Amino acid sequence: MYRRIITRDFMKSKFISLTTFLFIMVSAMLFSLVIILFINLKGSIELLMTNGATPHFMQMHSGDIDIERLNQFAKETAAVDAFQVMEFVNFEAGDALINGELFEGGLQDNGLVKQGEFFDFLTDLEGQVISPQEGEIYAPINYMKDQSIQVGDSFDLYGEKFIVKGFLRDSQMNSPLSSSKRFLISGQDFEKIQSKGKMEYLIEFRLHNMDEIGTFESLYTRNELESNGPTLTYPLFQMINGLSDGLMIAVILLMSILVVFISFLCIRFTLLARMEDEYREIGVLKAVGLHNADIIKLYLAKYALISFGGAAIGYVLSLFIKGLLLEDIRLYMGIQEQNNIEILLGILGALAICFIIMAYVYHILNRIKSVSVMEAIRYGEIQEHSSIYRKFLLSKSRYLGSNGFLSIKDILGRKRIYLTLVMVLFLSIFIMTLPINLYNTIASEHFISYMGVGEYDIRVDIQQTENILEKVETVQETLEKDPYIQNYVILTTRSYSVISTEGEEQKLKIETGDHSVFPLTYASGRMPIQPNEIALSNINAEELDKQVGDQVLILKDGKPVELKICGIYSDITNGGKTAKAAFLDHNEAVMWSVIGVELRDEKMLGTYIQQYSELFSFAKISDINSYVQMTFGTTVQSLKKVSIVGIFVSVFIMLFVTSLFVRMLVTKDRMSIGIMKSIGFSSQDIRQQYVLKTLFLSLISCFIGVTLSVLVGEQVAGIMIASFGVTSFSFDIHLLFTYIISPLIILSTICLATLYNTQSIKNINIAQSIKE
Amino acid sequence: MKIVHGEKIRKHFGDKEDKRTILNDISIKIQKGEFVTIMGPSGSGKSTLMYVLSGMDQADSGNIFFEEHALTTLKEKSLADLRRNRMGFVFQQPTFLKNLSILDNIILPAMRENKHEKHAILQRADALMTSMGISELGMRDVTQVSGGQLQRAGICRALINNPSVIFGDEPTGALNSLSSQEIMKILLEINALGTTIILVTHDVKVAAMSEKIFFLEDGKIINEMLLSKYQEKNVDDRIHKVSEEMLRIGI
Repeated sequence: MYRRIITRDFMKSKFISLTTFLFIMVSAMLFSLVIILFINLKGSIELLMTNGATPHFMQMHSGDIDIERLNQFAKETAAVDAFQVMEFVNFEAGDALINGELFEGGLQDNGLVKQGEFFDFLTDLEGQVISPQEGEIYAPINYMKDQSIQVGDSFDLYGEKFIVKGFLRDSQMNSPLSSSKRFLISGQDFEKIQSKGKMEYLIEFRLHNMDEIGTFESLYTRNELESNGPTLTYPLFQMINGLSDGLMIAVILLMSILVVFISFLCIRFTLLARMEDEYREIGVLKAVGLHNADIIKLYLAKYALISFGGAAIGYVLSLFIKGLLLEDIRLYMGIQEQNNIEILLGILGALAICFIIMAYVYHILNRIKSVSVMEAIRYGEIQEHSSIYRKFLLSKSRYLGSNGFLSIKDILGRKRIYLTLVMVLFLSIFIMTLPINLYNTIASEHFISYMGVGEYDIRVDIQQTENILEKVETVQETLEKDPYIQNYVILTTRSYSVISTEGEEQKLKIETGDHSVFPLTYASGRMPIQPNEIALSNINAEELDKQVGDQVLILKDGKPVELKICGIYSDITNGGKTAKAAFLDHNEAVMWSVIGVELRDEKMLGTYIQQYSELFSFAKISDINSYVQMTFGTTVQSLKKVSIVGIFVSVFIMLFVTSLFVRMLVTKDRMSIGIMKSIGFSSQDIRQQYVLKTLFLSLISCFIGVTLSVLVGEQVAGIMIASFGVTSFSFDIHLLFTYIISPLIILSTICLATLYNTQSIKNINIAQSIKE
Repeated sequence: MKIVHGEKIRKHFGDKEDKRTILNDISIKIQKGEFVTIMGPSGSGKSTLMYVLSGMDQADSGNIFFEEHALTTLKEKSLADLRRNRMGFVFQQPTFLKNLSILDNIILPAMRENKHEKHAILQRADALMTSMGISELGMRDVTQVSGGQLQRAGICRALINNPSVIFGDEPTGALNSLSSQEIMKILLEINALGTTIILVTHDVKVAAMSEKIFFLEDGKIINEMLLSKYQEKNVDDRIHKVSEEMLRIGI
């Protein structure tokens, strides 16, 4: 019996059944993908960092280093399992030649290293620790991806010749978010070349217990060991390695949830419409003694088949698609062999979708319990009792014509069904506008001010060199004489000891200078102006447990100085742990200095970049756009792609669902259509009514969807952007797209879908439809 | 003057293997102001003929004229305009839009035509409903009135635009005999004012009240019977005459 019922139902409503099936299939596919990708990503990060024996604590340092003291510290500290210092010889891209041509290493801080002695191994694409021979060089995998280097290329640097033997995976610096990249050469070659470039040190530790990283970090700081550079820990390496692909998985998960939700809405609509159509029949079944459970089973049978079938095919599809999405993970980190957990959890994910759908169907079908036998048999349909509906009369309508009136009356009379369409539409608007606004926010020139960097044109970075202050003066002299310089600021960073609330001494990197020249946007408070004021990055504020208005004690020239916290800001540079102050300090122990330059004419940017690169060879010269591009250019590009995809996905959903909806309605309304035709309404009139209905609903959906994407979108964007370390920002809405273009896209899509799917109205035979 | 006439109308249903001819070369003429009925057994094609003559269905071949309009040449929109302004329909089962009140259903065709004359439309509707004895039912739902009351409301809707022809498909089929008589009395009154009435029926009593009967069988008009204008005291005679005619022609 169930087979007959299901077959008959499918044949009666092929399009609707197919649409529902497709949505369930896509939901299951996406959800399985999320699980598969997550397991693979987690496994790959683990694999990379296990093969690479990533350090638990790494302190970069440039300048003098006392290795004996560090050795002593490591021996005396019980938490330390292994210790080493890796030498990193910086080189500028312009110093290297690939096949005789200048190496375009971008804005990365490229350097040469030899293989780690005890840990922090650079591995090949099979996960094996590389032992390069003399004359061989292994390049970071990133350069293979962008094809700037190929195996077999000649690589000339500082008079030494190498052959690119292969590519390496670096568990610390693989990610595009890491600004440094390591090239691997043999120990012998390293001895020859190390004096020719700027040396930097990676002071690395592995601990017995990773839970002690925080304690160890404090201990390291208290011992006033070498710390002229950023500090990074194992959890941070994990996060950096997982961030880009993690975001992709998060987006797919979000899409999966949205598609499941849309599936719910489609099912709700089709089920409610069907139950309305068969209201009398349900009443009759109850009257003859069928239990509610028996009636529910009749409806449930079809959806059980669709859910299970959709979930099964969705899972199979996810197996085909996963390869594409795992490509980057496979390349950058390597992938473990397919394991049973992945298969099992993927299947469970698809089944979860199946059961969620079934539970939802059952929930809707429970309405059968509330069907009144008397009302169903007598009237044959659900009676609308709302007063708005009853009071809305053609005889009292002042402004609406008959088509407009019938459209609104129908919406009021079948609110539950139309509500479903409204929900799908505003969800589609949300999918369309949120990525665009997110992209607009991050791609905005202003976004940089949320990141701890001012809005200037050129950045002159002086670090990892001696006599920094002298070199700053050199640059300043040039800037002072140049009439084409609009403005500039010198910001100098030194390391200070700060006393935490627990009385512990920690190191704090404080940048001093005039912060009003290129001001940041502060999460709370404002920039420091007075000499006794300080602004903290949000990570530092959290660690020190401080907020605006609190005091913080630092040691300046050995003396305690109390500073008042005037502001808190987001900062993604230097591990997010920075501070800004306005006091003067002529101490020579400068970590680095950054000079921000604003030009009178932006068109001269290229000329100045080149000029300064030649003039100030001790500094790194970059334009801000390139800086932003380097930091999260990949993410911005991904977001741009997602935005474009979002528009198409959204239009597709609207087209599909509106088509489904309108077709169902036209089928359901055959009798009413026949009646209207019999009293002199043309097919054009009736189609106009459907268009008016869907347009009216679209307008409501636009309003809700746009409002939602602006308000809720800001929260969702906040969560995503916080993963960059930016905890406060203004959601930069693309006004034209959000308020004009997207509503126009929606209205025209809906209108076209309605017009197309109401064509069959002209074929409805009056005589036959009236007799139904 | 002819108001509705058809020439060599053919219509069939079904595919090649299952083809059934419903109307078989029918020619029919109805004069202005006449009250005609089309009678025949079930499946004779009488309802189909009525729908084809009114433009609600399409013939496969033949010519159909309504007043001066050749229906077979008109586009769908023009047919709809004609149906709305020049024709009225009364069906066996009340064909009302269930989400509208009785009054809204009645005025709907008029409002479609001329929404700016709402006041006049409402006045006309009120007059019609008063003449039908249902003036107090305007605000009620379709489900809140009896079959007879609904049928009268149907007649009001059919008359709202002052049509020249009323088509009725078994208008008394679902009513009891008292209600049937009331409806027929109303139709006769309308006809007396000059509106042409074309009814489809299998009920002899209904047919006896008309002035001309077309008998249909197997898609053909097999006989045409003229009756004098209705006079109350001749009702039984008329019924008897019609029954005799039906026996004679073998229906």
